[in-house]
Amino acid sequence: MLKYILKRLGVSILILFGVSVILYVLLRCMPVDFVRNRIMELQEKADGAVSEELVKKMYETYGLDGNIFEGYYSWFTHVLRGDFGTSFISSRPVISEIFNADRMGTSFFVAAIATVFEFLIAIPLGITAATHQYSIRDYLVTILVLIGISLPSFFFGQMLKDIFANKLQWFPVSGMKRAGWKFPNKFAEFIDYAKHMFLPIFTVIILSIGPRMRMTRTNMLEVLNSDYIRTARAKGLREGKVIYKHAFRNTMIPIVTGLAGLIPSLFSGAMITESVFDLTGIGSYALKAMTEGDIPVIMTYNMFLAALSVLGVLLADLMYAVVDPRVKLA
Amino acid sequence: MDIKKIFKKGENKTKSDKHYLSGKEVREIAKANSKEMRRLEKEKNRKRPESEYVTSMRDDGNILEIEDLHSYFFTDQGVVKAVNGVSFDIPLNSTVGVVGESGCGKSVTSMSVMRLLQGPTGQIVNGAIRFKANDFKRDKNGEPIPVYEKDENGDIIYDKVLDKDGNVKTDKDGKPLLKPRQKKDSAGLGVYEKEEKVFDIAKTPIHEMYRIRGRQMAMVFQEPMTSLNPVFTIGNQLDEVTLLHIPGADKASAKARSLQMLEMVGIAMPDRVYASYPHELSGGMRQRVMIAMALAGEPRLIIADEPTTALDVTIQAQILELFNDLKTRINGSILLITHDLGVIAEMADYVVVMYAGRIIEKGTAMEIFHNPLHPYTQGLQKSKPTMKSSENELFNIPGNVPNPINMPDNCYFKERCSKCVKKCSGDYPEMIQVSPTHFVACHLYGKEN
Amino acid sequence: MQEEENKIKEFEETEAVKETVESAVVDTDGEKPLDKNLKLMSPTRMVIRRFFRSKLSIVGLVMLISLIVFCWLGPVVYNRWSETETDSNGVLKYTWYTVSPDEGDIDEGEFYQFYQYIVTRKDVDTLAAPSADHLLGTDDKGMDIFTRLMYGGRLSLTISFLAVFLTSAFGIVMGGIAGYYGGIVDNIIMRLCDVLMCLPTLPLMLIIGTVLDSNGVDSKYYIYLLMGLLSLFSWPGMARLVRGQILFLREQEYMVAAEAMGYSTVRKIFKHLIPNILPQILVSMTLSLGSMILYESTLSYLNLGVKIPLASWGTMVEVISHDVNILKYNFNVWGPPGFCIIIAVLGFNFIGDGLRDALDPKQRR
Repeated sequence: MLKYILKRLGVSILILFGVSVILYVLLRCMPVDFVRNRIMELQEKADGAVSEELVKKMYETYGLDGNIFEGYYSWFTHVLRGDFGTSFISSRPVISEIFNADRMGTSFFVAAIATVFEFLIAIPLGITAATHQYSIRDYLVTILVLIGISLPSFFFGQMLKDIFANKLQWFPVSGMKRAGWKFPNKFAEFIDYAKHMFLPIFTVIILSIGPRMRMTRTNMLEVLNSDYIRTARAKGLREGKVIYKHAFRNTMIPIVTGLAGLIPSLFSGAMITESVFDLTGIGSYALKAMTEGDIPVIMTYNMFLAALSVLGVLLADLMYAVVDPRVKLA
Repeated sequence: MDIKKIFKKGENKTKSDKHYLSGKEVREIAKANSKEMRRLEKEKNRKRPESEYVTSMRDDGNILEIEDLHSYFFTDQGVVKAVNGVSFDIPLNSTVGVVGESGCGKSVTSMSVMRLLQGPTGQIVNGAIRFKANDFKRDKNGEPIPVYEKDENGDIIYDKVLDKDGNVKTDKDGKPLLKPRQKKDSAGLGVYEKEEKVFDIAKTPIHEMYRIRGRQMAMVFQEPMTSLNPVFTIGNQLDEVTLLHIPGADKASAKARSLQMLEMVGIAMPDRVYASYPHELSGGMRQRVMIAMALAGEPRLIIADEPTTALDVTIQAQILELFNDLKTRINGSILLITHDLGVIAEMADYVVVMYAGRIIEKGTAMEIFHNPLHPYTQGLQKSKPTMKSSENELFNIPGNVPNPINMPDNCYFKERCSKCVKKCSGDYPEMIQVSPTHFVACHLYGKEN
Repeated sequence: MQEEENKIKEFEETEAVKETVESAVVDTDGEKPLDKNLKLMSPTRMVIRRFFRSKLSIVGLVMLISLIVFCWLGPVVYNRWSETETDSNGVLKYTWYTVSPDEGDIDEGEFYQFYQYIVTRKDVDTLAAPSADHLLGTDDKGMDIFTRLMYGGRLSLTISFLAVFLTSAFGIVMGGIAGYYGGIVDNIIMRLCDVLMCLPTLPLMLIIGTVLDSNGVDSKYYIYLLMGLLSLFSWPGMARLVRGQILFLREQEYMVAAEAMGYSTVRKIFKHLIPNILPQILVSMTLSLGSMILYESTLSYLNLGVKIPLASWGTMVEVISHDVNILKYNFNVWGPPGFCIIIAVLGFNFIGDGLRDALDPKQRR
């Protein structure tokens, strides 16, 4: 088991190395002048003072002076020392910008609540759709699934904002806190927070519930057609018990392992949704950095995402060994 | 070169288009199917009074009587008459073998008996399946009536009721409280009174079927590799049957019983098998577990659907021996479905030969093996390889089992038959009685001939 | 009975059946054979029938066909405005503005809403309401929304078709090579897949967008270049599918039989490989068409895709990201393109879903 994990970790590091090479090559495709100008521009926007020092440091860290191999080597050695560079926008180290407790906390809160609800809604709906295949219920679930994956996140978010915040005024338009408002107690503050978070969380749920529901349905259908379900019926078990004991456990195997794979995505943030609702999460931060060309942030954030996805795959595989008695890791 | 050939294939396709359904026909089939399926589903889910499905046997010596059973599948191609008017009996304490090539309706017959046809496409359309169940006798409240221990005089033995500390409980007058002692079987489970009741399975509502399946009749499937739930231990799956069907069973007694069953089917280390998962066992072991599971409900009828097909020859022999052994123990009958004539010869008392959803010959094993009448039965026997056979070539019946959609009225075997007479182009042959137990459906044996 | 049914289906679907049916006809010389009564559904008809059984596939088809007709025939019929033409006829504009009141104007406990009524003469008719002149009004630059919707659709659909085509071609070639040659080649390609799969699509597109921006690519070719580059990174999904199928087929007995009978590689590929892979590729392509439209519109929404004044549905929605008033008061500007995106993506997904069910040999009905 330990040997397996170590081996997988080794492979993961190799993959991350590959990712970093690709990212670095992509970034080096930008003309050097452009980088200099961009730093100047962003710095000016931020506090008006352009620090020549920052530019120099940037050139050094990312090895922009030398050829591509020297440059990558320079970046790589800096990273090994834990130096990921300095953000152009804020002039602060990238690491502290990305692993910022507030940003990460907001993104995690949205993602965690959304994931819980997703599972609570998707699994029962997926199961009823499968057990009532070709019925109205099945059709409705399928339509819901397909609509969920077909909605453009920016448009759906803006629509919700327009309807529920602007027109009906049930929820605040954007942001995370009612500005300039003194809360009488903690509870009122929490209610306000929840109100601000409702629309973003709802958006995330609708956008990502589809695949999970579809997966539950497909799995359930496959399991219901298997021989051991026939055996369970032949035993004299009631249909409810057949579905919720014998079929359910088997259906849940890929779903539970999928859950393990989700853990990393809790930390990566929902870029578009966060920026539509002006949440100060990691996603909206990264989006801003990427559209404005803050190279150190882009590089580090994408490495972070890649590491998370590698970790997710590894966790899901390990989870298989836990949930499914047939799987033995070797 | 090769691409040309493929194009040529395309040309051929247009030639054989007349064998394909036209769009109009397809729509008509779909319309008729959905109407018929809806009607049958409605009929199946209708609430029925007990008088509609509790009947009596034609012959009290039988445990199962199938009469004119029709089971259809409503597919896009048309109605597949997988079982088309099948009738046969299973006498008490006997083994009835059903033989035929694959796709001739053997499995569908057994599924119909268990009512396991998958709706809405698969339906029992017509016919009766009378089954003599031996269910617990129930009082007015639906509770089973226990059997009590009796002493030599035939009086019920009473026990004093003890409280937690082991003291005898007393009533108001100071007399000790007494409780009749229930009879226990070897696994420590209470014995209850039983009564015989005849169900017409084809009409029995599903909630009654839950009591019959697994308890009154059990099934052993063809694929031991996939028929056990991979995520539960063998013990869990075995206990389930006891817990489900035996009143008063708890975890401990269910386990005792499961171990007993595992031992009964010849598993050497029942404890270890009890705790293991299906994937840790070999195919033969799994089939033994399946049989143990079937036995756990003390069924009167075991349906074995090709129980040895997926196993090695040596394991096959062991499993068959086990079945033979069990028959004497369970005081019930076995319905054995197989395409292997050797298995039938070894096991069966009665043989039913099916072809394209119909029975073409039935009789005792002796009659079928020593005096096969139907050309198909004769062909089946000839195609069985033997050491003694002096011929070098294996005999085979030309062609395939026809797809049972839109069957003609004449004999289905006509195409492949080597002994056709003029009459064969006429109506489908009636069942002709040759001896008290031997029936054949062939024009060769009609009165005129 | 499930197997029984499957058996029947398999029986019907195999090429062999056709041959036996034919030979049976020939063999019995004029006498009416039993098999003649057996009419089957042709495999093609079976697929078509399964596809159309689902009402959703029909809805999807209708949605897409009407969109395509709208986008390609629409501008021919309705050619009053062109894609980037601004309405500079000049209008008098009457506008209500909400005005935020000064501190001193508010009485204790009461709430006022202040409006300002302004009459302006505008040289360019921006943000016009729907009228006979502009069926869906105009946007903030005075361009006709209805017209832009049609041109935008052309661009959005064309781009996604191109991107999916390129990606699939890449994936099929790479997967084919990996599956066919195996060994070290397979290993290298699959590790490359692993690496590329770790790169999240949207951030990757953002980076490529920034890179293109920095190199000053002409806005006309910008989006094509962007999607082209994207296909360099998004082929692993298709490659894995193709490779998996090839490896699976290799294990199949009929492939072994084909090998044993000495069939040529060409024949094997055409007779076994393509018929087996094609359905899955088709389904996968249809579904990714939907997601490509989503990516394209998201990029355009972020101002990294199609650049104004060129129209694409994403670009048309983009205005609301920097102008809150348009979001609040001019639904006719951003609503229609948004719904067009949804209809297109939903259409592709409905069709893809229907195709997947229709082509799935394990289907129950």
